[in-house]
Amino acid sequence: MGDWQNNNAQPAELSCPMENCPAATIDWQGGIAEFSSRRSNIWRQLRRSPGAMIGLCLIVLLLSTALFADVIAPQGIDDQDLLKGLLPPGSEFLLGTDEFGRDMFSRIVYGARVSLQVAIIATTVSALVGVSLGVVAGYFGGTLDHIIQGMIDISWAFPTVLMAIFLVATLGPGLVNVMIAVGLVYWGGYARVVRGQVLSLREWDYVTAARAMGASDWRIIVRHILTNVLAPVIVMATLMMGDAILIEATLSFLGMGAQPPTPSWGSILAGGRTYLRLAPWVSLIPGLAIMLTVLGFNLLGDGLRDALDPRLRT
Amino acid sequence: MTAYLVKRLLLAIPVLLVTAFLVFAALHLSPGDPVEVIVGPIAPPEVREMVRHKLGLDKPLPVQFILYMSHIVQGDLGQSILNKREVAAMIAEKLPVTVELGLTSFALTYLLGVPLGTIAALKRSSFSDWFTMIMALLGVSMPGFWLGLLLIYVFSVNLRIFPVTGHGTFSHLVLPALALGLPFVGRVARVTRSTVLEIIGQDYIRTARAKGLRESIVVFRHALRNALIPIISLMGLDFGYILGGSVVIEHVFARPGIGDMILRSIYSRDFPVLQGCMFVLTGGIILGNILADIAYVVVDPRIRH
Repeated sequence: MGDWQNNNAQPAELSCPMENCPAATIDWQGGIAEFSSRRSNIWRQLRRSPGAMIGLCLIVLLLSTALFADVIAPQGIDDQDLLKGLLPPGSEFLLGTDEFGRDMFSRIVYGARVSLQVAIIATTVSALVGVSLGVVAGYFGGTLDHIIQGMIDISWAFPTVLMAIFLVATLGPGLVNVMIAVGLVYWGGYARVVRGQVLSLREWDYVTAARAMGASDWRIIVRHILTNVLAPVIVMATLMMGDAILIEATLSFLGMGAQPPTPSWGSILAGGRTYLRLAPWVSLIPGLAIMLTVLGFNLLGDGLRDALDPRLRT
Repeated sequence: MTAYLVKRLLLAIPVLLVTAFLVFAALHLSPGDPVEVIVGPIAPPEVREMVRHKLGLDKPLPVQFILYMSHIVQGDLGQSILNKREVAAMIAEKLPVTVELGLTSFALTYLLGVPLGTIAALKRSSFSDWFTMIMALLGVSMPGFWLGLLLIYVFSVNLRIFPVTGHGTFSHLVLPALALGLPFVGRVARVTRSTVLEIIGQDYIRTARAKGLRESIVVFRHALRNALIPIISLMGLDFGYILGGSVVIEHVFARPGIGDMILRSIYSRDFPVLQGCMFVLTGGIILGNILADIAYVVVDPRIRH
């Protein structure tokens, strides 16, 4: 947890030197505040919210599980022992075994790695694409803005699950395609929010001042605009990590995501469906893992939103 | 009103056309050849070409698209590659199963969510606030298919109250409708709660109470009616999400609906069927949005576009 504090308390991009960035005096809450005090404020607010702290604990747990999977898991992902199939949770197998006698606990632990990997890559890609297009649309306006807005509208017209299923259907099954599909489904969310922010930021005096001083578009975007859209992007990315994990689980459940023997929570769950009566733990435990993980990201995301930018609250 | 309706319906046409185009383009540019699926890996090239020609897949893509669109306009969604049946007929057969599930869970969501949110707003206790919040949080965090399996495990396997899979009777409908609808209940309750809370603080509510109106009239006629606008816009949104979620839930409960058909057509690369289903679902979502727009005007006469 201490690690997190350091990482987020002093992100280089958030702070900009006072002398060449008048934005430093404008904080997201509309008041006047110093950056350093704001940083500790964010952490203090976050710590005061029990939900955010629970979320943070869940995510730290998940992250360490994924990182140290090799150490934590007592068995490999595909160590089979057919004589020990469908054993209930107990002392030998903490969470029981599946139909091939594989240790469920080990598979859940490695599944954390798969889920997190897909979610992080997909979220990063969609954030990069969404933020870039949003900035371009909001900052430059004109025809480009119309085209990007049309693309955003189309990407929003469909329910996310349906669109992800359709995309993976056309791309073919597999985790890489799941990442591409999730990225394609979610970039519009970032683009829409960032575009709106940039539209209003563009008109602020400090941007006009920077332009008057001869700053290039590129410099204005990087130094003055991007630093100020970071807060909502961080919040959205946190919340979308949860969504990405859910979509990956859904696609793997339908057999379009992780292919055997790769343990994804969704595919483990699907594999246990047939044995629901005999061995309910095979499907119910991975679902619990999915729910706790997504819950963690949602709780932390809500907490971050309240701490960073209360205006985002819907 | 009629002019508005006509305009709204006409506006849906370009959206449908763009959708048809995107679905068509995505499927035809994707790797994986339906001809391969039909003839198998060891077929001689002549056979392969013959099948390709018969399906019209040897024509240039733009020509294929124009042919496809002209057929759609005539209500012809093509034939299934696998069993040669008319896609439109197949959809007509399966659509009632999906509509039945969708409408039931939609009704369930709002029949539970709106009263729950209203009570939470009127009671204003920390418990009701907490309860709706937990419901909403769990709703967005829980995978729907897992909830479905959990319901099957509790109510079908252990308590033996409801059948596991299949469709036809009301008892077949209960579990899937719950699995599909419950995740949305919390969110509906939260939106209702915050809207009603906001309205309860308004002057006209105080006036209504000061006039000595009964509380039930204040709540139903004055507060809830005005709270309907945000709820309706949520309905427009949820309609699409429930349709999307039905694909997965139908798979869990083995209900032979459109969602089930979509998954089957994906596994067998039956493009015409997949195209048809996507087209029909998009139409459904657009229809839902139009209905929400109409409901706005009915509920709030101030909104005249």
